[in-house]
Amino acid sequence: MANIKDTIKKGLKFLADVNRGFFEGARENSVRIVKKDALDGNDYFILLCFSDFLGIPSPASYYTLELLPYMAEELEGWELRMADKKDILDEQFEKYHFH
Amino acid sequence: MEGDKVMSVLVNKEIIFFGGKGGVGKTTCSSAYSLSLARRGYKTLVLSTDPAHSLGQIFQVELGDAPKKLDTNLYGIEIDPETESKRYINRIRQQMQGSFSANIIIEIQRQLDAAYHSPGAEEAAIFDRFIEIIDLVGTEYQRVVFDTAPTGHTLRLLSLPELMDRWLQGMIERRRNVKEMMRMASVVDKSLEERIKDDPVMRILLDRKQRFEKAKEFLIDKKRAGFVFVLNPQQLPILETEKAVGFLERNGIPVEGIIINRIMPDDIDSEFFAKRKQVEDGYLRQIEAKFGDRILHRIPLMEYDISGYESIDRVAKIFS
Ligand SMILES: Nc1ncnc2c1ncn2[C@@H]1O[C@H](COP(=O)(O)OP(=O)(O)OP(=O)(O)O)[C@@H](O)[C@H]1O
Ligand SMILES: [Mg+2]
Repeated sequence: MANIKDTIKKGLKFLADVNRGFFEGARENSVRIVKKDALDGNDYFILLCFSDFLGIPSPASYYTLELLPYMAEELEGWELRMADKKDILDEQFEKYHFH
Repeated sequence: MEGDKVMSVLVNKEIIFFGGKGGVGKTTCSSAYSLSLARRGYKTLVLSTDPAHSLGQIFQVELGDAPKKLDTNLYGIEIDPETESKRYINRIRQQMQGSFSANIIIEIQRQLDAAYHSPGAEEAAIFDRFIEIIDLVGTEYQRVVFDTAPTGHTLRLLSLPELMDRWLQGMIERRRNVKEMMRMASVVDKSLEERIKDDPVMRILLDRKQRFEKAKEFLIDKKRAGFVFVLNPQQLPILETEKAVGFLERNGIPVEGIIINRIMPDDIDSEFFAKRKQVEDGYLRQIEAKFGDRILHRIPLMEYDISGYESIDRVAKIFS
């Protein structure tokens, strides 16, 4: 039980940091880099909305459901990219073990 | 007379919440108070936010999500989180009938089915209805009286606007940043403001935020809203009330006072109950010391359960 609570706590802390813009890339004017940052930023935004899809409960999950009709198209690709990034996310997630 | 204090302190507020520990008499007091308001000529809505409703039971009327007439000037609702979230989720389902791939539709249906049971969904649904009802204050109804769920549930509900307001603000900033980066990376010449204006996601987030802000403003507006705690002269209700009052005040939600319910009569001829009464007196002194002039009323322990119009009427008469 304590374990589940711990995971939820970690998940929430992680989401809260995403929500503070913790992982946003440095602004650069090179179009190629900005494009990549934009895509990454968008992925983090989707994560904030639908972290439930990945099993991370979010305080706003009920309210973000109504965003689905406008974001569903992006979800499939997002889930694939998130699966690719799983190692990176796990690593970041692990950091939340110590705080 | 003390009864006058309840009315004189509360009557000008458009919204009054009755809160307190489980079983102390919240439903009894909110029913009686709303009946008093109705008798004074205020068109009043009394509603329960407790998923385990008993408001209808006390009026001996079946209540639901739509207002039902209880008496002249008096209407009642039992907020049903499930009806509320069904309505919300069905609306989303309908909007989903676009040209999405089968895979994603299945996944989303699964997600929507699970949404009813996700943590926080019930409170979120109740809060949505609460925001709708706030809009009726001053137009449809002159007074709204809330019969709330036991303390913990209610405090979580009331801290929702603060939490969500902050959370949504973060999301709005994230979305804006993404839009800004997209503008920088795009060859299409369209300003950030235009991009934001055309973004349905942004529109929804801003709209949500605005509604939470409105609820927050209402809750902390001493002129319009206030909280009353009901307690019994017993240890746990006293401790819980003290904590809850502190919590609300830290969050700027005005607490108007407390009502002590179920006070044993003075003339007791049983030795056993005379001893109980002495214990109770100790607790009454504690309440006096802690809350002093914030005590709005003392209700005696009655010989019968308070149920049915006649017994609510008896309590209402003490109030008015
Ligand atoms: N002063 C009183 N004298 C006798 N019985 C009372 C008194 N006040 C309340 N009761 C009875 O105690 C029970 C609980 O009261 P009530 O339902 O108002 O409490 P509540 O705080 O709304 O409870 P819950 O937390 O379950 O919603 C009811 O059966 C009611 O009739
Ligand atoms: Mg009740």
